[in-house]
Amino acid sequence: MDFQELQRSWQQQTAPAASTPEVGTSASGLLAETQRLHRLGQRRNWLASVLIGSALLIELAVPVLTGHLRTPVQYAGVVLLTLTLVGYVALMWWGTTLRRAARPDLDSRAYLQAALRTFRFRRTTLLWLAIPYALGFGAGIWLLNKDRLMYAPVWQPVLGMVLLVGAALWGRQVALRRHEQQFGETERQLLHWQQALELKG
Amino acid sequence: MPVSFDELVAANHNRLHRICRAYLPHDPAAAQDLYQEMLVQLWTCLPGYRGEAQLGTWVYRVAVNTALLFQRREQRQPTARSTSFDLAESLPAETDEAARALNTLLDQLHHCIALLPDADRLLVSLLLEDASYQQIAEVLGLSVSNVGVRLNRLKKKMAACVAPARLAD
Repeated sequence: MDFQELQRSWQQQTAPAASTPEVGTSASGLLAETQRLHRLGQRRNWLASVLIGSALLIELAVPVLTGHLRTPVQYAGVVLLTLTLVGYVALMWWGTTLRRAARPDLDSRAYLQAALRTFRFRRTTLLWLAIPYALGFGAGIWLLNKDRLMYAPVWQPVLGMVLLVGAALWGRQVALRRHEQQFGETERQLLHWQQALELKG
Repeated sequence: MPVSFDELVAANHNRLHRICRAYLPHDPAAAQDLYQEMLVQLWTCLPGYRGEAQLGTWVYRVAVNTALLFQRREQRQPTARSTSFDLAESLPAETDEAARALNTLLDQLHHCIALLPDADRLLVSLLLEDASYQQIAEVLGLSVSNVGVRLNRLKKKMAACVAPARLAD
């Protein structure tokens, strides 16, 4: 059997006419909806950045405006909180950058690598950064309120920190489970594809 | 040169449909979903097309990559063996005899494709669309020699699978 004959026969097949989207149909509505969701995703990062930035500005400006200047320890707390939150926002942006880098018009090998990098980044940040964030956040709050908390019984800040780390651990577990449910199979199949391309290629 | 989405779809929709059917031979509904997903991805990526690759190669890339990720999201149970019926409905039938022969050949071709592993199904669909080795290598991001070895093997496999049925007819 001549392969060119197979090609000729194959190419004679035409798609059902109904599968061609026309302007003004539900298909074009779907495309518009996709565009809207894309824009929504982009705005989320900006919104988080603006909110966190505003909160920090207010936090820094209020003592100056009210005349209640902070002690060096309190400033250390503010700096720690700032670094923690800025780190969080930076990772959000980095995650978005990685997702955008996985463009379907890359070649398949590059696309698979980019898509897998996105999944690995998400899993790694969930796994390793939830606790440091909670500790950084807790320590920042403690330093900021040290003047009051230093006279409180020891168990209070300790309990606060334990609750914070406990919440972070619980949140991490929930996020990891959700990540596995949503993307676990995808990740494994992408690895399978990567191997299929690399090994058999 | 800017390309309009409508023109792009009009020029490629048969091709994309055939690739979807080849990739998901057991599930025409999933193939239709994949086709829609490809359109969405083409539409999303089109503003970023700068002409670095040929338009045809670029379309194949988006189609193949969408297929790679699609199957992962839409793990489906295979249904009964399907044939090329929905694609062959609109085949140009010069005579009844010729149409019947073509239908039989296409059924056999779809059957042979369905027997291949999923990665090979995608490759065969590109081959059947007459994509060059260079194009397929650019789509996959592999060297032409690497792709060539594999495609030659696939061509022989397909020809060997389809030939006995032809002889039986």
